[in-house]
Amino acid sequence: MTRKFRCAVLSVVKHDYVARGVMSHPRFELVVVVDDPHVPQWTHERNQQFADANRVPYVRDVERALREFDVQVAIVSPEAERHTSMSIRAARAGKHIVQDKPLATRRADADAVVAAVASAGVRFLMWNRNFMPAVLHAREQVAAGAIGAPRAIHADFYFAKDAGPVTGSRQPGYPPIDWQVHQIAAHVDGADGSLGREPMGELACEGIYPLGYIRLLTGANVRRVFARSAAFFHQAHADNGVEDLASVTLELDGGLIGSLAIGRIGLASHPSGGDIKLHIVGTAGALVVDESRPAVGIYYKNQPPKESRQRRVAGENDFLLADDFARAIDENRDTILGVRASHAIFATVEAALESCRTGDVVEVR
Amino acid sequence: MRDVRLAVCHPDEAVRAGIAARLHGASVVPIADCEAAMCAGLGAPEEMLRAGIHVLLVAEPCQSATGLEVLSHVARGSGAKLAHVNPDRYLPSRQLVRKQLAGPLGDTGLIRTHRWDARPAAEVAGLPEPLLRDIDVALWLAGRVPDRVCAVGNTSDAGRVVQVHLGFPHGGSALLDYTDTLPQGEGYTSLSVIAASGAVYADDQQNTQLLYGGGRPLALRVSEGTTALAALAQEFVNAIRDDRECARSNWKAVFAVAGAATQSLASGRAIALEAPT
Repeated sequence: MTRKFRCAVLSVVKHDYVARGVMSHPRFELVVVVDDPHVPQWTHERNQQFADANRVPYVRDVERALREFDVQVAIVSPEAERHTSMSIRAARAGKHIVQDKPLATRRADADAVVAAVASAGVRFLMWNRNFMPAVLHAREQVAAGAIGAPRAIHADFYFAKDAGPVTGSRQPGYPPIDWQVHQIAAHVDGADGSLGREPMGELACEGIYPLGYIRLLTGANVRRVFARSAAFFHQAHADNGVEDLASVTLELDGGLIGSLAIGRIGLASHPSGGDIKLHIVGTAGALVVDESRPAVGIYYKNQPPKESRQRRVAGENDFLLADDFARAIDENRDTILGVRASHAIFATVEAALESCRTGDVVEVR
Repeated sequence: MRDVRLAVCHPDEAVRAGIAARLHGASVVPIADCEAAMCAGLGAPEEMLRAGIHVLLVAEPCQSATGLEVLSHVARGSGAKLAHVNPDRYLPSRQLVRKQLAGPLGDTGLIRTHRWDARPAAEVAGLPEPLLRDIDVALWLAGRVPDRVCAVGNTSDAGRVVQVHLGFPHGGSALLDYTDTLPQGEGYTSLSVIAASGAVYADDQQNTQLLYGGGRPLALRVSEGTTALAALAQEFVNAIRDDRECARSNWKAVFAVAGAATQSLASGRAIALEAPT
């Protein structure tokens, strides 16, 4: 009989999609929600709400819960700044880790979590979208040599979501939007993609997804980047000096080139949540991949504006990620997006943001 | 107002007929009888200009900067009108995109094009010629010239891949990629524009039909026909009838961008670009 893994959720303040995703697999069982005692009240409230919904206790003592609840897996999903500290504590306690994006908000933290995971010998999975059906299909085609050796890869990753008042809407004399206050409020409609004390743009928050695709499909590291960005749509981004739209040129191992177009571009920009595409050019062909397929078109009178007109179907990303994680634990191997790969993506984003500031091509460290 | 006597110089009889059938205010005549000529893959534009014939030079392929300067000089000398126009601007999809940007969509944030061909294209200004037309379309849609250009590329036995990244002063950008590595057959194009109040997606992937003939279905692309050339010819005819300047591409800016892209390819650096005077 296959082993079942007992899981602790280490804070669940942003979304609960990671925890729910892991629990979609029968080998994972949620046993406790935990957090530190000193976190703000709104954090406790969200943790308690999730614990109640799942009929497990909420414990305000991370180390004690990890010690006493006999858990093997930590699901780390607090605000972005606390990702690494939570993961490091879990690793030190010998727990395997599933972490929400981003890996870290600072280089030193990113380095530290890699070291902690390596030192503890635990498995680490950065939550991602690499098991989307269309992405898997693309991977099969590339692996089968259908397009020859990849020479260029391009990812479009747009979220057609609003994020508060539009750029330019702040009236003279009014204060800039407080990032965390705005993100906490945005939780109601799920627009709080970058929840944390520090402002975070789309590259830092969502870049893991398209860069994860590129890594999956090419196996290559990004060596140099050139990037441009703007706070084009949302006042919260403009007020806090972070981008909601960015474009990145990528130079990868082996002379492979690529690009990334990413943004939180407003609800009106797409009828079904945003255009997410991959374009891959090889020596013997090319692939154009719509990440949202397969889907079913649904249209009806008085349809809510936020409801997707093309509804994705047959997606098993959550289950397959969890399955990969379970197998990685069983077989003592890396996951589909382990801590070192996540660190490489962090470094790419870091370099891209530096390029946005300097206007120059930047080497990825 | 009298009709303009226009010669249509195109290698395809069906295209010539299609243009002729659609023109208002013009009679399509043989070259020997024309006062204006549309040179699209045929014709001798320099000789025509010397003879005082107005010339619409369809920029497919684009002229080089030097070639264009020579033709402009000849046209100035004879008083003939010269329009060197990128036909891609007149594709129905691109016209619609442009109208939407001027209307509900607002300012451009990120322009993305893909153009994949099966055959190597001629090189103009150090870049594959079709990429110059894409640069022209990007500048036209953006309504401004970039202040930063970064280009990367690679070459293999299969062909060439080139990507040009433009940064505009307002923070917007454009990513344009070109390859000639496709196996023999049809090419692929895609244009998306993320704008202030919405977005447009003009993608061959959306405009294909399926043919089932055994095995995997074939994806058949529905082309935009010859309406682009007809629209281009009409604009030329209108300019002559109205005695005004013909609509033309901003080739000076396009060549400046191409020069910066070539420099970037050679140096591995992003190139700062001053606005052309």
